Amino acid sequence: MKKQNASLETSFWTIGTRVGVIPYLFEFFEVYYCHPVEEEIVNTDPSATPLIYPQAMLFNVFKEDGRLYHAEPKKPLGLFGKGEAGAIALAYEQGWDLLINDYRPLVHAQGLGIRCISVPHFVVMLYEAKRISKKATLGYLNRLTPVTSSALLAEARAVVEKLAKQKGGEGR
Amino acid sequence: MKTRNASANKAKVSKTIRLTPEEAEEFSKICQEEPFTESALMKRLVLEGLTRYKLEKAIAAYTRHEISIGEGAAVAGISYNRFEKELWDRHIMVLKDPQFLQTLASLGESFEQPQLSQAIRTVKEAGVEIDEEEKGRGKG
Repeated sequence: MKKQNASLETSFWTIGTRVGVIPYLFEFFEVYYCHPVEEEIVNTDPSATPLIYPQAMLFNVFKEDGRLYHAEPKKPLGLFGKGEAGAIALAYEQGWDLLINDYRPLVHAQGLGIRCISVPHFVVMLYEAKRISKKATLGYLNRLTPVTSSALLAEARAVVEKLAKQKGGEGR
Repeated sequence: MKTRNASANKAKVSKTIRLTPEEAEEFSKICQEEPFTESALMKRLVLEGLTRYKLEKAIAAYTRHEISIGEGAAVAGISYNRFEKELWDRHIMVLKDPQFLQTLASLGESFEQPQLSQAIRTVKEAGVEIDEEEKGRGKG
């Protein structure tokens, strides 16, 4: 299996950390981040400086571990927040995938012809690749329920059920 | 060594508000319960109110799909992480994707997962029913 290059956008990292799938990412993707994305992930509010969010801690660990690569776009978009503008431009300029979990910039990036991978996509991929059980897969999808469209989750669950049938038994 | 921060060194601007006698009395009572002068408490309440106002404005714009999470954080004047947490805690929908299955099929090809493409074809043909309980979740 050949790894795909991908530009990381903050929403994917943040939601992916909440759900718990980020450590699996590096088997499938060479993950590139630009500085605005790093700042968004790592920064806390000035009034809460001693706090370190889990997504920030995880980012620092993988960065020090050498699993996250740095790259900057030549020309960030003049749209959205700084992280979104940088990450979309990087994916577009390099012809990479975009790891993103925020509707509005995702739709814009799709309009530019960028393949946009969200956390639910990645969860289903992990099941198909036999990295996680069916129970874990449905558990990860359930955790996304508060912030994800019910139609999208229904499609993801339907694909998981079909895959389970193909695998035989309960699909493990 | 600088002992005062930049904000403290900035020139201050006075703003005047008019309260009814009842409102003024209530404010004075609260001041007596707090270790602040009336002026300091009023400033604190105004700033807290401004923060809340900006956050609610950003959340409303995000819910209407007018802005992204990054833009919402900028409008609210808080970090990306804090704004995303507000969306999560309030169950505001951040993700929908009309091309979800199409992208998943494309990933199946890239990662040599033929079973995935087959499963997606079957799901597309059969259509997907959305659980009634699920329909109400994820505002926005």
